[in-house]
Amino acid sequence: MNKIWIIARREYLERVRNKMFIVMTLIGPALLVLFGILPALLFQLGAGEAKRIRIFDQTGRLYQRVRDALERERKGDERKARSRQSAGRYEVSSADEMERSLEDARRELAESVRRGEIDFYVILPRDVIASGRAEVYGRNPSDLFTVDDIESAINDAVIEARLSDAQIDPHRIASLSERVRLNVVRVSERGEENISGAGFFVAFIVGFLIYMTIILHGQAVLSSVVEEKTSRVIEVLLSSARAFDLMMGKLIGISLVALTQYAVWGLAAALFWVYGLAALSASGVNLSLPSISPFVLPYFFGFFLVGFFIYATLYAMAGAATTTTQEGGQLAMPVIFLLVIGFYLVFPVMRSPNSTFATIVSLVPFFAPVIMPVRLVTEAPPVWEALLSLALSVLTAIGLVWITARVYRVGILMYGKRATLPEIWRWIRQP
Amino acid sequence: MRPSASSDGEAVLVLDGVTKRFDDFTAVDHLSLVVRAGRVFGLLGPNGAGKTTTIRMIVDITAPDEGAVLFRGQRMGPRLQNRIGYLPEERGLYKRMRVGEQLRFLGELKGMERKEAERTADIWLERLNLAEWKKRKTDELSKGMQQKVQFIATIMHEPELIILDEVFAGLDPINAELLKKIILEFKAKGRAIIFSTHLLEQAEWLCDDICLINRARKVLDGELREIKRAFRRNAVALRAEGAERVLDDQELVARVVSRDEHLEVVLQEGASPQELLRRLVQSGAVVTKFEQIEPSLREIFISKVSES
Repeated sequence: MNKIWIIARREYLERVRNKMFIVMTLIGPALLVLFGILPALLFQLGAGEAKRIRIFDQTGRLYQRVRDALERERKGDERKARSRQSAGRYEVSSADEMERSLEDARRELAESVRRGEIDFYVILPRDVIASGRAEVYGRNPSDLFTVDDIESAINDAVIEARLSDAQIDPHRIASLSERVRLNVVRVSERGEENISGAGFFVAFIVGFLIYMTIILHGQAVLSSVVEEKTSRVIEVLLSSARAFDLMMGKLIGISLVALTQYAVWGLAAALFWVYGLAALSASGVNLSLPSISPFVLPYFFGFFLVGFFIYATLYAMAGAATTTTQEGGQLAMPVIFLLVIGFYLVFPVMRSPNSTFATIVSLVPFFAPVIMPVRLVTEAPPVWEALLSLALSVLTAIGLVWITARVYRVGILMYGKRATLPEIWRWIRQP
Repeated sequence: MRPSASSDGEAVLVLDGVTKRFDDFTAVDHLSLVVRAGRVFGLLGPNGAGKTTTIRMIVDITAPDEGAVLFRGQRMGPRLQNRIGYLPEERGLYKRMRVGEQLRFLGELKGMERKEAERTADIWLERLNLAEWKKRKTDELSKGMQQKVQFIATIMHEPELIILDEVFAGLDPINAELLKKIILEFKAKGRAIIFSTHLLEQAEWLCDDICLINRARKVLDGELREIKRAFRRNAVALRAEGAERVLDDQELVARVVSRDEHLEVVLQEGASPQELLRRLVQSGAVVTKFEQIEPSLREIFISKVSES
C-alpha cells in the first residue's frame, strides 16, 4: 500500500509540475470561453460597413416603410434581438426618381452594383401587395443576414399596407397577436425552480467534460506505461514493487491529476459565478447561469473516477501489451470506440433523460460514466438507479483492474514485441 | 559441485533447482547455487545463457516454474525486495526527472524514508562527482553519468545483496575503478554481491566465487582460486638467459612454446616447477620471469563447454 502511494505521488507531482499541464489547466477555461464567444464577436465585427441598398418601388407606397424598418433600431422579441446589431448597418436609398421602365431600371441598378456604388437592389413590383412577390439582387446574395433583414422589412411593410387597405389598425393586430411566453419550471425532489435553455447546455458540457478528461488522461496512462517500458525503468521498478502496485499507483496518481484540473476549473467557475456575473450584469449584460444541485457533484466525481478507472486500465493494458504509443493506441481503439458511442448517446439521452432507453444505457458500465451524470443534471433519475449504475461501474472497474494487472505483470517485461490477442488471453488465464 | 566449504561467509541467497521456461524454450534449467556474505559471486556465461532470467527470479520480477529462491532462508517475495539492490543490464531511468528526485523516488521505493533517501542520495552524488548534476534532468547527463546515477540507486538503501549486471559496460577506466572500489567496500562490510558479466576477464579480478552457465545450465561453480588450481596445467612462463641446456632435458621438459613475452615451458608429467627453477639457478641461467601458468577463465570455460 505504501509503495502504491509513493508511485502515485511521483506520477502526480511529475505531471502537475509539467509546463504543458499548467498551461492547459490555466488556459483551458480561457480557450473554452474564447471559442464560446468568438463566433458572436466575429459576427459583430464582421458587420463592417453599412450595406447600401437601393429600392425600386413601383407601388410608391412601400419605400418609406421598408427604409424605416431597415434603418430603425428595432426592439422586441427574440427574432428582433439579432436585428438590434443591424442598427446603422443599412443605408437605404430610393430609385424612384428614375422615371424609367422596369427593364431600364433593372439594367441601371445592376450596373451600379457592378461598379460598387451599391451592394443590393430591391425590386418591389406594382402587384407586390397582392402577390407577395419581390426580388432582391446583389453581388453577394449569400450574405444571408442582409437578405433575411430585407425580407422581413418588406414583409412587415407589405402586411402593414394590406392591413391599412383593409382598414385594420396595425397596432391593434400587434397587440392582439402578442406571443405567449412560456415559463419553464423543473419539478424535482428539491421543489420547483425556473430554468432556462442553459440546462441543456450544462448537460452537454457535463457529458463532454467527462468524455474528454477520460480520453486525455487515459492516453496519459498509456504513454506513461510505454515510457517506463521503452526507457527500461520498469526493470528497476519491478525489482522494488509488485506490478499491481505499479499499475494502481499510476492510475491513482493520474486520476488525482485529473481531479486537480477539475478543481482549478471549478474554482475558476466559482469565481466567475461570484465576481464575473456581478461585473457582467453591472455592465448591462444579463447572463443567467443554470443552477446545478450540489448533490450532483459527488456523483459527478464518482462517475468520473469509475469511468477513468474503467478506461485507463484498458489503456494500461494496451500499453503493457505493446511497445509504442501508436501501437498501444491502435490496440485501445475498439475500447475507446465504446467511450465515443457513450458520448454520442448523450444526445438522445438529453432529449428524454428518463426514457427506458436512457435508463438502460445509463446502467451499462462502459456508458454509465458519461450518461448517468447527464441524466443527473437534466431530469434527476431515482436515487437507486444512480447508485445501481455506479455500483455496476465500480464492479466493472475492479474486474478490469484485476484482469489488467495480470496482463501488465507479463506484458510489461516484453520488449520489442507486440503481444497478440491470444497471448494476452493466455496471460489473463495463467495463475 | 558446491562452493568450497572454506567460504567463511554465511549463505545469503540459495537457488535450489530453479527452472524457468518460456513456452517450449527453457531459459534456466535446474540451477542451484549459493551466494555468501562478504564475497563477490560471479554469475558468468555468454550472452543468452540465462543470466538475466536467473537474476529476474532472484529479485522476484518473475517466479520460477520449478525450484526455489531462498533469501536468508525465506522464500523470495515482495517483502524481501527491499533488502536487494539490482542494477539491470538494460539501464533505465526516468528521462525527464531530475537526478536528485529520481534517486529519492527509487530510494523510497526501496523502503527508505523520504528525508533519509534525500540525504543518502546527496552523499553518493558527491562521492561519484555528480553533485552539481542533482537538479538537472536525467537525459541531460552522459551515458556514463546516468550509469553512475543508476549505480547509486542500486546501493543507496544499503542492501544485503547487491546484483550488478554488466556494471562496467560503457564506463571509462577511472569511473570503473571508482565503482570497483565501492563494490569492494560493500564486500568488506559483509554484503553479498552478485557480479554478472559475459566478459570473463572482468570476473577474474573481482570474484571470489563463480558460477559458469551456458545454455541455461550450470557448467561449473566454486571458489575461483580452487577452480584455477584444479585447472592448472603443469606449465611455466619463463624468461631467462642461458636456459637452453636445462630446457633441452627431455626428462624434465615436454615441450617449449615461444610466446610474445616469454617461453611457455610445458613440464613432463611428475616433474615440478620447483625442480625446473632449481636446475635453472644451478646452471647459472639469469631468470627474469618465472611464473606458474594458470588457465584463464576463458580457457576453462571453453574446455568445459567443449567437453560436454
